[in-house]
Amino acid sequence: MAGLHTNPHPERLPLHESKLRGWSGGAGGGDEVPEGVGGFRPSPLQENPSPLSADGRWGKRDTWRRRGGQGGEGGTRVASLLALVTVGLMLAFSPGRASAQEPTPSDDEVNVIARQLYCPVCENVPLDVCPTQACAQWRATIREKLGLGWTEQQIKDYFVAQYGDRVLAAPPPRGLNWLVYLLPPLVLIGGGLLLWQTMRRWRRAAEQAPTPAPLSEADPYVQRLEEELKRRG
Amino acid sequence: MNETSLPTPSSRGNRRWGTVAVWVAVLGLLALLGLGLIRRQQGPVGVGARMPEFTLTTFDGETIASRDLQGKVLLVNFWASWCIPCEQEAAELEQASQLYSDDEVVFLGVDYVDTETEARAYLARFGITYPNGPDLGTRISQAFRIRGVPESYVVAPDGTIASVKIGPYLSLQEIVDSIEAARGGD
Repeated sequence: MAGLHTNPHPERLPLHESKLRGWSGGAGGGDEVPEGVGGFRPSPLQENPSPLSADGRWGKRDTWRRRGGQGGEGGTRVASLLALVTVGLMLAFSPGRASAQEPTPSDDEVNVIARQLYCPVCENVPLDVCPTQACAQWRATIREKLGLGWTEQQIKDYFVAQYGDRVLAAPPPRGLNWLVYLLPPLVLIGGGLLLWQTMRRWRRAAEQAPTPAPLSEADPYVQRLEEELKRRG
Repeated sequence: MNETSLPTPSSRGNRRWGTVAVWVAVLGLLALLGLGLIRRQQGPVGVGARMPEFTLTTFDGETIASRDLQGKVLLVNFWASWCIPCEQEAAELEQASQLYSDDEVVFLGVDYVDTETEARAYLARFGITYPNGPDLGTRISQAFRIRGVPESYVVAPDGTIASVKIGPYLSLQEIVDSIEAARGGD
């Protein structure tokens, strides 16, 4: 998270420090865990910025040992959980989560329209991904028009007036352009009908095909076969 | 096969009409495709052809109709601010237009798929004073069937194309020569 790297409130501690201080606590008491984290008050470790406690041992382990000694392991876990929740809440509402200012209108707003338009001088390249200088100029034009309060349709109409229908991702339904809209469904329906007719014809042919006659006992070949099987079996 | 499996005359007729309709549709589509391809392969308007008629609305709001320029030599230059080769000839075109300020030779700049802000900046950068305007809806470039920018067409006073330059003019002399050739053909 970018907000963790910049701390516009130097009087507050960065997350990793406050968490460390809260966990170690120096004096090691279970009650001190949320206090050290949540209050942003100088913890005892401010005098000793090392993660080691005053007696030279790792604070966290030290804390565990002490808590264990008091038999309050469950309480410690609850306290730890509380500490984590507190840190999370503080992060969520921290005013330090500043991000870079987006230009107005934003790139996303520009691209919503740009992806519906095609570069007038490149082959089949949508305007939102086109890398040329000309396309950058056209995206700037979209931004400028959006800034002036133009609607999406007004901007598209402007582009069509300037550069012709070919800038539109979907051609307007008029004249020969209707073929684009009518042909695919017509071909699909026609193909479906053809398939259905063909399958029906096949099924009918299969139904009407003469069924093979059952093997007759009188057939000399069957008799020979039977005899041969008996002799071998 | 028994009697019922044979197609009736009406179903046979329907099938025949269906086949005819499919073939007509397919051939129609092929014809359209062919026409499109022929049009695409035509190339720019050539020397000796009639100049396509067009109307240009300049950046200053003036409307110029090609029909009104009959009897004059006309140089139509297609350019764009994003076109780097166009920059090579921009200053020479302006110089040539200054040489022919006698109203018998008219220079027109047609700004092909461009943005107005950049186009105006381009004109200012090269100090271009002859009439220039956007190719609205790419109608003029389509009429001339240009393949790119820059392209220049010199039109003789009789309205026929005297010369076509694909790419930038390489010198002022080249522009002058093409105009003089168009004048000589008067």
